[in-house]
Amino acid sequence: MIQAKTSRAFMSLLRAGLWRRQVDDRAVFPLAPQEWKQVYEMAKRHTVDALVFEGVQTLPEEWQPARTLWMPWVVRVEKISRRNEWMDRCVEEQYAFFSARGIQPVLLKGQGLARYYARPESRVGGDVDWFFRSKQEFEQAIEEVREKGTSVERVAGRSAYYIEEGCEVDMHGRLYDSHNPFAAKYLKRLDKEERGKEQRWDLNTVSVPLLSPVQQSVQVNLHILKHMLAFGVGLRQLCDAACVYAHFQKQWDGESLERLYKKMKLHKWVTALHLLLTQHLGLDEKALPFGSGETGNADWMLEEVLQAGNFGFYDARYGGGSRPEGNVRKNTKKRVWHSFKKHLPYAPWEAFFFPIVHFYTKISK
Amino acid sequence: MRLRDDLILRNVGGEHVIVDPGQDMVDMSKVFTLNATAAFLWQELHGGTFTTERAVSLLMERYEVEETQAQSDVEALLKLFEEQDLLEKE
Repeated sequence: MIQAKTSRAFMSLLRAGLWRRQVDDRAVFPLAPQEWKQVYEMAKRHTVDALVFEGVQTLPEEWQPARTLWMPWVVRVEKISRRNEWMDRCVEEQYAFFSARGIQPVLLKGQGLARYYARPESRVGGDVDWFFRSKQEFEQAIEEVREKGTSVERVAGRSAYYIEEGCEVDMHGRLYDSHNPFAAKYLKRLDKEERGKEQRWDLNTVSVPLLSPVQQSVQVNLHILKHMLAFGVGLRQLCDAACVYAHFQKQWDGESLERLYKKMKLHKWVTALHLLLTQHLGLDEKALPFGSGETGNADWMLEEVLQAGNFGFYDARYGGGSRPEGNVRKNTKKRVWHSFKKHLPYAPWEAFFFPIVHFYTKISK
Repeated sequence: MRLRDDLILRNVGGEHVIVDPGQDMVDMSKVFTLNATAAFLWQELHGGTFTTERAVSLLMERYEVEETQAQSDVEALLKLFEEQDLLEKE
């Protein structure tokens, strides 16, 4: 149970904005100006400012913040919306470029996940992520981008990135952020079972492939875990998980998904995630693929998320508080050790292999 | 004529406010608030070209006012929009 008044207000406004309904924790309102300022700062740190603003607008007028606060806030919201329009155009152009060359990448994260929000324009976008189904397609895509004079940098984990006209594009040869070598065969089997169930996003002149509902959910959840094991993750990614569940409820075999997580030794972690999504983000329990009716609480997980902020950049426990220069986080070893201890009971194999894989990657460079 | 496409009308805290997402810092002295009638016209006319006659007709339908009153109100409002740089430059 969150106690601090501003945290309660913040979460209540987020739930209202995410699901487009009335604020549910009215006991904490009205807020004082300084408390509103804290809510605004939290919303920015977790990159959910547009969603929280939608929640603010459901409050009675006399409870809404002063003009000096909501005016810059509404400008930010409109900028987020405009940026999303621009990023959608980037996705369209990039997919047209690749598909004209016989490459059919799948859109991951970001603009693809925004489709599952009640208002896609409210989701803060970062970069564009493409997944290439084969090594051959991945290498060809890199060559094609280089051929037009754009520099492409390779990074660890079979990925690469480039920047074109201000848009950062990440290219991935691996779909799932799993560091557990024993999980690979289960994920490979999942992909085989999901063939033919891909979704598509009809975006003006192109039809962009998206993952199947099950793959989308597993990909999002493993992505969250990866960042939790590293330096932390903010609420935006948790909202992604909630929206995927809400959008696709009943469209998957819950028992099969539960078996997969049990085989990967992730069932306890996913159960905690489910508790966080239902207890704190307001996801309807009926939308869960399995485990509705679980008791217990995920306060520890929410506390970690609230402390970390967007990708752990704002964690005051490790010298954070504001976005660090050059995005370089402080006290990285301490943070990874803390995450390891926290997550070992819940996701033992991922927690165990994560630092090993990252250490190996560093020394093999 | 045409209202600036880059400006958005938002209703926040009971106020109808014109938002310019292009500004980096919000200059409070340049915040433009509309009354309910002006906000109604903005919503109806935004996103396309329009004539004064069209605006007059909208007011007359919505508020059941005489044409001369509607004409006077529309002219005053459009003059204000022009002075505040809310219209697309022709």
